[in-house]
Amino acid sequence: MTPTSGTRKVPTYCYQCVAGPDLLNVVVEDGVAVKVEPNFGVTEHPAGGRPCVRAYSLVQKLYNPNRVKGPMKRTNPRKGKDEDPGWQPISWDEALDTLADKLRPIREGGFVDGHGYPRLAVTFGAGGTAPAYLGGFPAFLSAWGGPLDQGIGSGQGMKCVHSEHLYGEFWHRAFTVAPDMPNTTYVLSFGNNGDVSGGVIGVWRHAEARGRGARWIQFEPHMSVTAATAARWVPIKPKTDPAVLFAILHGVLHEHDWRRVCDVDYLGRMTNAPYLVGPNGYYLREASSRKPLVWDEKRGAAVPFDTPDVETYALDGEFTVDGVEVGADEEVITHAGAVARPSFTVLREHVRPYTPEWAAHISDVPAETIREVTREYLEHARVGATIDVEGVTLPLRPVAILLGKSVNNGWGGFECCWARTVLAAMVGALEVPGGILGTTVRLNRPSSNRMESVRPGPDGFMAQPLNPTSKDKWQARPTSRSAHKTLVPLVSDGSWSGALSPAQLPWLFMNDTPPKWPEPTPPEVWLVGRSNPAISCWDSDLIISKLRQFPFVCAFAYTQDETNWFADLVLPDATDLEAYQLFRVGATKYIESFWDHQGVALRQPVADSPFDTRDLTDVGTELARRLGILERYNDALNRGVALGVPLKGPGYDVSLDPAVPHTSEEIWDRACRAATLSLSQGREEHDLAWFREHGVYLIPFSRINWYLHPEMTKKGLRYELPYQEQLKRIGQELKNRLHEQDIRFWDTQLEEYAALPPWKDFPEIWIDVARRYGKKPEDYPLWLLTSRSMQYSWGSQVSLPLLADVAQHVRGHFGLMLNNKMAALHGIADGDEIWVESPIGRQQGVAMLRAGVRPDVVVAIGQFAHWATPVAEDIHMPNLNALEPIDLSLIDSTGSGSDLIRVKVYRANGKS
Amino acid sequence: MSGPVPTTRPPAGPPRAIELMPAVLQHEWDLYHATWFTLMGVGGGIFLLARLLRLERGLGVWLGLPVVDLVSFAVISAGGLLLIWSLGRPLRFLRAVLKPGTSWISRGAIADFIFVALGGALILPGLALGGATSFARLPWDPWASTTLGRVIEGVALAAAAIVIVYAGLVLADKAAVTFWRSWAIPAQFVFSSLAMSMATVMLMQTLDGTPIESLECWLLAKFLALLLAVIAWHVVTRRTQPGKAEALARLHTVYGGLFWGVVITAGTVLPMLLAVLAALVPPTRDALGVAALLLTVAGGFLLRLLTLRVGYFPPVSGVLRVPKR
Amino acid sequence: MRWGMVIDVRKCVGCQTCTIACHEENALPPGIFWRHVVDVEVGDYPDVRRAFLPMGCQHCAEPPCVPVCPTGASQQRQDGIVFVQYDMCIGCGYCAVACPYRARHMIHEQDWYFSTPTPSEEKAREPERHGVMSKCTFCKHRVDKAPAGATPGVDPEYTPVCVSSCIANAMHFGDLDDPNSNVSKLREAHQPGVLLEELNLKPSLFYITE
Repeated sequence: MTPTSGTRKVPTYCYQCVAGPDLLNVVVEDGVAVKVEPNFGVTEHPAGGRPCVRAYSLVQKLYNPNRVKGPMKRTNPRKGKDEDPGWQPISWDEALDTLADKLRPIREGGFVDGHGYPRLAVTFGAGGTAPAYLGGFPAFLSAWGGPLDQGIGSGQGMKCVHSEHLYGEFWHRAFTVAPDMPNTTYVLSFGNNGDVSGGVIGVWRHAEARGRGARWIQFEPHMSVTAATAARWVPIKPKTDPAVLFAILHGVLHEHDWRRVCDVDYLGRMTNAPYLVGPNGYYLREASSRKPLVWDEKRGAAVPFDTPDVETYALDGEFTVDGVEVGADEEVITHAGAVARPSFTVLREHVRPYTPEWAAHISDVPAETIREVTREYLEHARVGATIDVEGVTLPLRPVAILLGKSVNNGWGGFECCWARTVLAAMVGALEVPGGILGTTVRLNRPSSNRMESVRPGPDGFMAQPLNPTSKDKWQARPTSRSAHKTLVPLVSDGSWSGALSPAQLPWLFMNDTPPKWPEPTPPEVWLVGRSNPAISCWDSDLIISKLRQFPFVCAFAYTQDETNWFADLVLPDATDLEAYQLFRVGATKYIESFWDHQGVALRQPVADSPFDTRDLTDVGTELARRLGILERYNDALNRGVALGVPLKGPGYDVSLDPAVPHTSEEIWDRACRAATLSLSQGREEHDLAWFREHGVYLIPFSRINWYLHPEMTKKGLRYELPYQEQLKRIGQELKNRLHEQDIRFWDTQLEEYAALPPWKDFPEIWIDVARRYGKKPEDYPLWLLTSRSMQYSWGSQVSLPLLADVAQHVRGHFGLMLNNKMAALHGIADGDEIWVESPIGRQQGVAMLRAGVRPDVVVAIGQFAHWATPVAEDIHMPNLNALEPIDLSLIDSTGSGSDLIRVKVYRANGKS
Repeated sequence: MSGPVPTTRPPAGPPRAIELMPAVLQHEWDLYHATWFTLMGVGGGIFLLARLLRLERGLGVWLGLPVVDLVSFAVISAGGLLLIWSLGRPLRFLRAVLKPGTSWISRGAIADFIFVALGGALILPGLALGGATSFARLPWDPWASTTLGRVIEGVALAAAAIVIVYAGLVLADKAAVTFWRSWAIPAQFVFSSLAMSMATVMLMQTLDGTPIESLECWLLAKFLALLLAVIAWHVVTRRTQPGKAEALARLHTVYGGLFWGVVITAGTVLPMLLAVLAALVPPTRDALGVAALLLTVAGGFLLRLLTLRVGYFPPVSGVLRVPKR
Repeated sequence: MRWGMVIDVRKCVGCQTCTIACHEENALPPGIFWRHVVDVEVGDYPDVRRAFLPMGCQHCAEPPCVPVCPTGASQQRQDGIVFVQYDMCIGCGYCAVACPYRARHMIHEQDWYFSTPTPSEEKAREPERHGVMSKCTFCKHRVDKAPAGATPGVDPEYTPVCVSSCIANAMHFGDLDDPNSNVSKLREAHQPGVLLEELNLKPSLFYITE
């Protein structure tokens, strides 16, 4: 298949994490892949054509002798951690026949079971990287023809930067939020470990920014890599970030002259700051048009927000106004002479108690520090400054506030996301050069063009594809085991919604279903790939206990792992260097992947596959053929599902014949041609052979499109900030709906729907976990946190000894990091074997003493504690996931949770 | 700990070099090297002492050859073979002689070859195989009674002296390990070698029925006393030197028992006292000679092994500011 | 001409991309790293500094590892690159104990990441390095290939892979004797220091730390 003599450099992409795709060459000598190199030829790549450390392990990943080498079926009917599956190798034909035989009855007998749940569930984890490796398989899922459940959780979605995903998209089409690092000069980061998670482009740009004097202040309970490179490390107490953010907001609004330091014009024109709030907390609206009212200072009167000639919007004051409030379920409250205040005024009052002294007491961040960073933030914001971007004058606000995992998810995540975004809006640093930017969209459409997803909606804001909460449209009976349509309005109902839903609930409710709730049934068929929930999801024991009950699990497997240990069928898919796919690169994408170009890159087989693995495109085609849905499948491909581009578009048609099966090469050849025709608007057409040589096709991408600001101003839209009137309303409606069904388990979550979120004692939520399990909180005095390992994150690489060899140079590999003085008090020396115990279990690891860790914190990098994955099972590292329960008390209103749990540590017997 | 902690501030004052990477142990040289150091030292010392003290005639003859020299060559050859075996590329060992201008390993290798060659040549005229003395015509004899013989012996003795000292100089001359960078290391190896060799010669005398002289006992005692003094000086001076501090800590903790118990007490002090006793009480010399050999060899081998095993590269220092409150 | 590096510690994030790139470029066996990044932490909580120092051979102008070599395998070129002539090395280890930067690594035995070599390990193996000392070569096999008009340190094809793979752009390679080179300009602007300055070995790696 591939040439077997001479030396070739084969271009491909790496998308083992969502910060990519990044480009690389694989050097192949006489048909054998020998090493990875950067692809310097692609000068358009913002990080010099370089991939990160993990990409260099791709060759070992290809030739790993511990891979699953061919399809296998289980012969031991008993499933359990101590039950060897009794794998028996079978042919691909038998494997696909077996799978088709399991899927056919679902198509023929009804897609949902008696409880209303889809009988087929799929979980492709790795935070959205799977689509870059599934080839054409998503077209099969699209052709399936009925509902399928994507809400059985793993390590993605609810465990990801979840609040940022949902609220970010809601507020500024920001599935993830990035600083405009080429222009930013000041970053306040609350746990954002961007020098580990930012991808090559993030790392490159942060380093360049440091080189030109940009300041990065890192608030984090331990000194991560990013805290190490930052100008300043502030050791904040875990889960108190909202307090500091609120105090900074207090500082801006009360300790500085807001009229001088805030971007008053921006607030008046681009936000709901001037919208008048009525006595019940809803906008005061014009009775006739139901439009929210603002106070026009020149007219001295309340006018609808979109009145064209308003010069100055009142941001402070109290006004007596006639109007209506529209509450939940269309409840109209009419007011004559009501006292209304601009939401900005309400905001000021809301943050009045949140002084730096108050925050210092909660967070261990001195008040003086909070005041210093507030002042620096305001100084660096340069309100009023402008910059020329490709001939267009845009505001320049080079300040950014970033959040990291466990800060932007779980309880407190909403508050942090809200406060951070409000702080950006205060100085006009939202979606403008230098400020915080959204990257892409996944809940809004189209995902390929963030700007097009900005569409006018009610009240002057963007239209939002929220799940309905009205009486007639609310989805009372869950359509997925994670109940995304029922419980989470913000997560909408698109192809990504299942993965972003409360995907831990299926595991929890399979164990213990709340009253009035249809018990989640194990899916009849569960497809799982690039995901290892038994390691990556919380409460490993619970996951395993439920996995045993799944009637048929088909795993796309790289190696044996802790989840496919419970499979009935394992199908080894072609890994990164073995199959074809064309994937979008450039434009703006997750994390910090903002390019001045956009296009597509090819992934291709670099050498002959060493084992009997299959391209998932071919698997999808074969399954479709067996199930009699080949035509639907090919139609999906022709529409562009999985390919990223329709095969028929304006001025071109390279469609596939729907009636016949096509090889992966044929399919991707069409995709190559369609993509280049589409991108070049018909001027160029390149086929698969061209892409196999060149690797990537790029056209310019205007940097204007990095920023939502021009699109918002063009469409006359405002950001729904700071006041969350819509959230308040839908929260009340959701509460009404649930209570009408006598469903009460979500009541705590419903309290999060507030127009202006207050501080709550977030740390206490985790401290309370011990009581819920019959233990004493004071017995668990430390916070166990996790932190990312760039060498190990994503990519199914935990089984590669090369990465263990490399990662050992970085602190935290492979042990538990704890403060050296605290450890000495416990009689723990560096290298001692210790137990780390939470209310639900304990794990053992090696103590690694550090000065750069808060005395009340323990850090376990990554997620390990494997027991089935080759090589990984020999890595002696605890896994936080195994020690954190899936518990309703730890799930917020969007369904997310945080990776932290209260623990104690003590010496095990003897030294390691 | 609770309450706000003072946050970091930009520093005051100029930066200075601080320890960035801790001292780490070398792991190149260990058991093999400790063994051949010992064997080389003993082998060279046997030849040296036997010849300088004119004892070579009284230590037996085999096939016409002085046994003491044969033992010396055998011990040195064993050391040499072990040295070669310890190389990554043993078959290339001859190349080790190429850089005597700068490398003590080269100098030592040359000395090894010269010693074996000239020492062998020296005793060759004595070889009697089946009654035939093929090399008797050579103008010297194993006892160096001719001028040429004395020249050959002199050069061989010089080579033997280098053989005894060069292992220590390899460590002391240019190694990065601070604990080794001292004249005390080759001095220790020399005195230890001479002590072990003296005890070996005494044993050979016992086996041959030759009486051990009091001079030998006093020499043994003096060698050990000097060894003790040099060790003491080495562990007491420059104790805080980076790299040496860690070495001493490891020596006293991890290897405390072996160092104090075997190297110092059993391997040096005790045989020193036994040597004095033997000097004063002639009938004890044979038994005490045997005991001294066992003790000095145990002590001598462990001295070398522990020296290698506490060989720390010094901490790597560089300029890095640590923010202070 | 004297090749050297300037490493900007302010930029380095310790990701080990240079570590693995070097490892793979030079087909090194398990456990042998010619370049690796040391994760340094100094100070006491909360006054802590953590930094990442790319380490490896410093290609000293006064290299202690060269004179100690008994065979002449350990050599220094005119352009300052210190290297091992593998077919002359006997594997005695002296140069390794002479190097205070711990930059020398004996490849004792053929070792694979798994019980048998993978096709890529088999393909890339270099038997002449078995049993001899090895170290960073400043990728002289790439540097020496630079045609006229190409500049090692600027043209990535002819630059050491650690430098050309760095995702923080923290490492720079060039001619220390050329006042107009990238490294000379960085030295002038930042006055970077060296490690173990007190040993006077005149290393060719300069570290910008402030």
